[in-house]
Amino acid sequence: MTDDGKDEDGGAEAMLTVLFSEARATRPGPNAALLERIAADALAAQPHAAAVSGPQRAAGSVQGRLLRVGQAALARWEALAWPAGVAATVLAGVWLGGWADVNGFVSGAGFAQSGLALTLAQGLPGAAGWIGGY
Amino acid sequence: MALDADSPAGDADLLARYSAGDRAAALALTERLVPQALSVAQRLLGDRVEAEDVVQEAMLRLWTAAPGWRAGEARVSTWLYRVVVNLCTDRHRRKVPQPRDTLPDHPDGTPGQEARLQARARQAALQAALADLPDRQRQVVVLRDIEGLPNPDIAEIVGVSVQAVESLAARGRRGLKAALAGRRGELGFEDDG
Repeated sequence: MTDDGKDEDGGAEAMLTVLFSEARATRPGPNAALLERIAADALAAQPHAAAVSGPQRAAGSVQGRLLRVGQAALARWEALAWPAGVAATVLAGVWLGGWADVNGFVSGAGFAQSGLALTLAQGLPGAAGWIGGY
Repeated sequence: MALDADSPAGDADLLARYSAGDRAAALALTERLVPQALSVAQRLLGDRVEAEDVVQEAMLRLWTAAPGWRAGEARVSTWLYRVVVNLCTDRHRRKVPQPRDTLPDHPDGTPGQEARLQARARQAALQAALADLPDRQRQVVVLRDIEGLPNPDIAEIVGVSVQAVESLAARGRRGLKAALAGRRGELGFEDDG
């Protein structure tokens, strides 16, 4: 390369240096509309937004289910009362039998063959129904 | 200078916070990444509206990639610029050549006005010369000589070796000089040579 060529290349290099410097100085800045669009995209695509609402919905579902169970139980109170009545009747019968045995009114074997046992056997189901609300 | 050169982990941290539901992190990332991404896109495309579309698309891809982002694999800014460059390449190849920006026929002749017109003419000439470069050379020149990114980052963004970056930069600069050689006087550089 000749000296003239070097000078010419040096001039071209200087020109590029100036042009690049001016380009850096005039970088375009983002406008508000672009930033808003990007922010909207970010919020729409944010994965945790769905993850957060998921557990919240799930928590609501558990509470809802418990509430519905409670409401159903109240609406069907007899469904709870019947087994409670049966249990109370059985306990009462056992207690009465034990009390009679201890106090010499009947022995276990004698009671089983007595008319009282027959009466209780016939009457207890009715009493259980009465106590249970049926 | 690279956008997050001072805190390369900062962008990744913000992205993780965004992924965990932190809305402020998204805004912070936008403020940190978008200006330079937009500058790169506009230089590569020469069109503001298209550059904005590209940057919005690139950022959307970043938001989408956030949940699976693995810290340490790539810098967020480098990843984003790679997406921007690729999107610009796609658009540039589809683009129909537009009439080049020209000076107005009757400038008013005031010194301030002349200087602004001169500056505008220089940037238009640079943009036109950049547009005529092959894709890779244009990308390397923009990323290196205008955006000031280091060669290793450019190599990662463009997908070539560091040596190839140096070669592409040299060829790109030679191409620009050749394209602008006949316009030096018009652009006010005649006395500088």
